[in-house]
Parts: sequence; structure tokens; C-alpha cells
Amino acid sequence: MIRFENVGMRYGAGPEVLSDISFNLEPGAFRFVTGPSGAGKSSMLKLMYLAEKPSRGLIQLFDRDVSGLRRNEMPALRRQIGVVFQEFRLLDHLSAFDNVALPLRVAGMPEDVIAKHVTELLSWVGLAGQLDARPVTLSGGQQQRVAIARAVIARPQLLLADEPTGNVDDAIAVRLLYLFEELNKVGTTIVIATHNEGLVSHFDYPVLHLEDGILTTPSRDAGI
Amino acid sequence: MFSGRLDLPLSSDPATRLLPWIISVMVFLAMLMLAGALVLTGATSSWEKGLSGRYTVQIPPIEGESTVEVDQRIDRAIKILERTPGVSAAKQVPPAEVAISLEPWLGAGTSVVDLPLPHLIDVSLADKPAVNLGQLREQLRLAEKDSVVDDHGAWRRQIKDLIFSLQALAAGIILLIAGCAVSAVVFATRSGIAVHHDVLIVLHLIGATDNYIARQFQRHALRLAFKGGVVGALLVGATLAIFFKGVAELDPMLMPDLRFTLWNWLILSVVPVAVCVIAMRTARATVLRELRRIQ
Repeated sequence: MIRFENVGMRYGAGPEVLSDISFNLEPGAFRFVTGPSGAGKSSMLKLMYLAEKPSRGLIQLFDRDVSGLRRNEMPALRRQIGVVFQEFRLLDHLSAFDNVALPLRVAGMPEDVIAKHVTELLSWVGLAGQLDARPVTLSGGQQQRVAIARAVIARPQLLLADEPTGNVDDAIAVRLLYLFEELNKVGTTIVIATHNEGLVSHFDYPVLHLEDGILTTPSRDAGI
Repeated sequence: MFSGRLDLPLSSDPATRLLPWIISVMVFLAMLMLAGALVLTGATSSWEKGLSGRYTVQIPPIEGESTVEVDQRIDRAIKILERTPGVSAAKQVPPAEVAISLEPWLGAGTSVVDLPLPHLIDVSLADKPAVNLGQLREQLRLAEKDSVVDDHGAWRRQIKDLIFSLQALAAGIILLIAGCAVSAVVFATRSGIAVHHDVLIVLHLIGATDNYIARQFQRHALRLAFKGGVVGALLVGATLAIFFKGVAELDPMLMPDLRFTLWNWLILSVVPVAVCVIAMRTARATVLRELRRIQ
């Protein structure tokens, strides 16, 4: 599913924010990416959702070398990846419903199917009464749930979440992680970046730990 | 295409708010230019057509000659003309008709009897055979030494040149206006891309293709161009209505044949449609080019 081999990454001419990252995730894996702020968790996720390119090394997604991807091949690959961005990146001019519907609309799904799925999912995350609300009128926790709903609505094969529980209380955080677990059970590969060690210890999943851009605690799946 | 939803808040862009007005002014100018060219081309064409297939023979007056002598000279010339292969008819232009045609310049009721005007013979030509103009001139000169055969060639060439110049001028100005319209759309689209850069990134990251994003911009450009096109077309319609109302009140003797046919209206209606297509295609091309730069 995901394979990193000696991956290095830097922004522009700056220092490397990731160095010699190597690991391999099989389809259906569930991983936490942990580490302190600035360790490179978000950068690693950006490489996985194709927002950035590595400075060196090999990255394979869905058995494809991403460095060889043509521009017109990226959208299809990205549609298989759901992303919960750290800062949510909801579109402020769209309602909660339209934000969540976006991945389905981009994929060309009929509006009646979109309406059914989106309404169901927003109800599930406790936002049934906020379908028409704009993100700016929602609390941080509600926005986070909209962002998570948008990431999972298209049932991606790979779900990447960057601090998905940063703005919600522990009870909701655990509830959201149960949602990720459910998705994982139906075959979705999950990678969650978090600095919340307490939350990580609540679940029994392997960890990719980063310190200063270096993978210091390879998971059981590592070992290339 | 008009009713499609937009994922980008393009309608709120300050740069695009003025675009319909800019386009309406451009549509107005382009349509007015085209209408002017069509009207003048029609008028000059009918003028040119009226002169083609005709000669005018001038028999200069001789001082002191009697009416009988004038008639004899004209009859002689008409007989020569009627014998000439390619001439279908030849008849004298009645002096009264000459007087009427001079009325706008000399005033009504002015007697032209005392003026040394040439006697005119209107000659109609058959399609075939072509008249041997040199031979005809020679024969008439033998009969009437100072006779002149005017085939209106120089005048017709001037009219044709004028028509061509008008059409070239109209085409040039319309191209210039189209260029300005394209520039305005490119500017508004680039501005939209810059303003909504973050939204575009999100759309890309959730799997939107460049075409999906370009469709949003081109749909928005179409809406704006349609609004501008309708306003511009209505303004042109009103302007032409006022113009032709004014023309109708003028003396037709002094005016060329100015009219606007159904065919002209159809040609004119192409302008707003073309502007809509240009706006759409420009927005699309601009977005696709800019997106390639973003990632």
C-alpha cells in the first residue's frame, strides 16, 4: 500500500525535515505517527497524500512509484486517499453538507446518492442539525468532524489524518477513532499523525515515531 | 452550463464584478462597428449594383442648335448603340429626369433648360456578349465628335475599394475589441486563481482534475459574458432603432439606401454569442495553463 525507501525531504533550499525514512505498510494496516511538534509528522503525511515531492528516495503508493506519476494520473490516485488536514482546510463559502459532498461531486456521483450518503454520515458524527451551517459558524470540534466526514465520505482505500482529534475532548476523540477503526475493519488503511500519546496508548496499534525527521521507532511493518 | 453549481466562490471576486460591464461595453462597440459596416456595405453594394451593367453616353450640347437637330444627333447615337453587340437597350434620359436629379443641389423649380448640360443616353447591357468598349467609343466619336461613353468603371472601383476598406476597418476594430475582451477575461481568471489558491489546492488534494476546476471557471465566465452580451446587445438594438428612426425622417434623395436586413440582424447576433464562446474558451485555457504552474 505505502512504501518509503530512504526518503528525504526538504522545503526549498532548507535543511532536510525528513531523513532516510523507510517503512512499508500493507493494505489494511493501522498506524499512528507520533513525535513532538516539528518532528516531521505532517511532512510525512504530505508526501503520502501527494502534496509534496521527496527530495530523494523512493515512495510507492498503491504499488506505483509516485515520482513517475504523470499530472493527469494524480487525481485518480488522490481519490483513493482521504485526508483530514491538521487545519481542516474546509471551504468557508460552502455549507457543512457541501464540504462533505465535495469528494463525491469531484468523482461525478449523482446528487441523490450524494445527498443520502452525506446526510447519513453527518448525522453519524453528530452534525445532523448543522447540514447548512458554514464552517465559520461551527466550533473547532464541529469543524474537525466535518473535515473527518469529508475525508471518509468517498470510502478511500487509504485514510491519512493529521492531528484529527486536536480540537475535541477525549470522549469525542475516542469516538472518532472508533470510526477510523470501523473503516479499518472494512479494509481501509489508516495512518494517523498525533502528538497525543494518551490517545495512542488507548489503542493497540503500531507506531511510527519521528524525532527530528528521523524514524526512531520503526513499527513491526518496517524492515525494508 | 448556466445552472451548474460552483465549488469556488467566484461570484464574490472583486475582479470579476466589473467584467459583465466591461464585456457589455465591448459587445456594444463591436456590434455597433459591425452594424455600421453592414449598413454601409449594403448601401454601397446596392449603389455599385445599380451602376454595373449600364453605360451612360454623354452628347455635349452645341450652342444655337435647334430641338430637331438635338433629337437627330441623339437618334443617331441611339441607333449606333442598338446595333452594338452586347447592348440590350439604349434610351435618352428625359431632361425632366435630369432636372429632378439635380434638384437637391440646384433647388426645386430651377430651370435647367438654359444650362449647358450634356444630353444623356442610358445604356443597358446584356449579360453576353461583352461590349467592345473601344470600338463603341470609336464609332460614337465618328458620329458625334465629343461624345463620351462612361462605363462607371472608376466610380465602381472606388466604391469597391471603399467597401473593402470599411470591411477591413470593421474587422480590425472588432479584432481589437475581441483582444481587449480576452485580456479582461484572462485578468479576471488569473485574479480568481490567485484569490482562491488555497481552495484550488484542496480541490486538487481531494482528487479534482484540472478539467473539473477549469469547468467551474469557464461556467462562471460564461455567466458573466452572457450578462454583458445581453446588456450590450440591448444597447445596440436601442441605438440602431434611434438611428433608423432618424434616417427615416431624412430626405431619401439625399441619403444612400440605408437599411438593416434580417440577414444583417443574424450576423449581428453572432457577436454576443461569439463573446460568450471566447470568454469560456479563454477562461478554460487560462485556468489550465495556470494550474500547471501551481503544481
